[in-house]
Amino acid sequence: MNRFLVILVLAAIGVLGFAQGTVRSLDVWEITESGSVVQLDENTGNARAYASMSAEGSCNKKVWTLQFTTEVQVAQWAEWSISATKWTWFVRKPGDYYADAIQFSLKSNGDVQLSASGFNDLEYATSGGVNRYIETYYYLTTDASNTPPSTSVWVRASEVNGSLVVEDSAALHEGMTAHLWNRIHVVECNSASTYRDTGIITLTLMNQKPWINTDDGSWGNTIDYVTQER
Amino acid sequence: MKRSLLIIAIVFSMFSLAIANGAAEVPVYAYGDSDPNNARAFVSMPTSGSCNKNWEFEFTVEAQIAQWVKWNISGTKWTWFVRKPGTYFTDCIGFTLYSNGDIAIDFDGFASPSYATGTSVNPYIDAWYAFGDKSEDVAFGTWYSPSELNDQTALFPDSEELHYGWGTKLWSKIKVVECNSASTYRDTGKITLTLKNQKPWLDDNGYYLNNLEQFVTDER
Repeated sequence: MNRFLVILVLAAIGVLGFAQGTVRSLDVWEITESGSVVQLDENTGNARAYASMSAEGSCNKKVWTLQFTTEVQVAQWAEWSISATKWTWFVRKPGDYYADAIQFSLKSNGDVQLSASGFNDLEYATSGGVNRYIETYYYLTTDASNTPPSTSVWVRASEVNGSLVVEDSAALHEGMTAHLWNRIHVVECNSASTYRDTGIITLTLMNQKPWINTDDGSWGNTIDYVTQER
Repeated sequence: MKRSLLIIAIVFSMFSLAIANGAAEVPVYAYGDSDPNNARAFVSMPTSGSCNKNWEFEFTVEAQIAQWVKWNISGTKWTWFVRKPGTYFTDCIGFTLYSNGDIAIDFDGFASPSYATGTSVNPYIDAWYAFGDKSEDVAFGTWYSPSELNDQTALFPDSEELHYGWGTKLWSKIKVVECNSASTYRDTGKITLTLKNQKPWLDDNGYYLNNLEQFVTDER
């Protein structure tokens, strides 16, 4: 009975004339914005293509129909820039100061998580000091008008630590720009010296494809991700 | 009454023709790799005589050849992996077609690959298709959008080239833009090959009809 079933299945496959076939890597060309055509290197190019699910037929059947599929798997990309990664203040006398913004731009085609860690009040760089810390605040805004922030909007350095997700949107695809302001409150107890704090901002591409090596964005084993889905 | 007479007359005439035809199936043998199941033979139009005159009678061999097709395509799916936006086209999927009669190829259901799940800022990727042999010819040649492809019917007339195998290559071009969110986009269309000169004694699946003897004629 089982043998009969196997024969039946094989016969059905034979009649249909469809064979899965092998997955073949294809050459890929890019038409650049200037209109020139460049053949892409498999490792450095930004696109790869494979052909699969071959088919064939041979008999007198009058009408043959075969499905044909184009599938595009698009990886998440990010393009970002920050106009500076360090503020250096020179303060002659105590006061509550804030500085014009550092500009941060981000483009992506998927959710991006921004995480901040290690942000704290500035700390006396060497041992000693009457008050070893300078109160530090940050303010992130998309307002590009350079309007001085009000006093209520500032976030204390330690509270900056955490994460937020910039969700996939048309604005993100086109590029979002944020401005980061910095405020320090230098008091009389702060001894003359250098105070410093360094935090880390981490950008995580939340919708990355599994065929991308997340460490460096290089190609993974793409051929393993060619499926038979139609 | 008249209708009954007419039906009886038609049935009688058909019966008479069959008798006159005298078609009888005979065994078929094949040489070499030929499969005897791919041919059937009938003998018909018997005749006889009995007297002392000189006799002459016609003798006919008629072969009705069905249309056959043999085709293969090296892939029916393109899978693109794209790291960054751009306009890309790829090396081909080879298509080879052999037949002994006119073939029509129709395209249906082709569309821009669309976001396979959920939503995207731009859920479609522009796609085009082309036919040709060399990348340099194809690059700036005619590219068909999916809707243009659906409007195409390619007719391959019977020719020596078709008998010995006609081949072309299919090319795929996509334009991934910044508004395409990271994900998988897919489209599946249908290609239909139709044998235009098929004989009436085969069914749609290429099998012999049961009443094959009805296609044995008295024509010389």
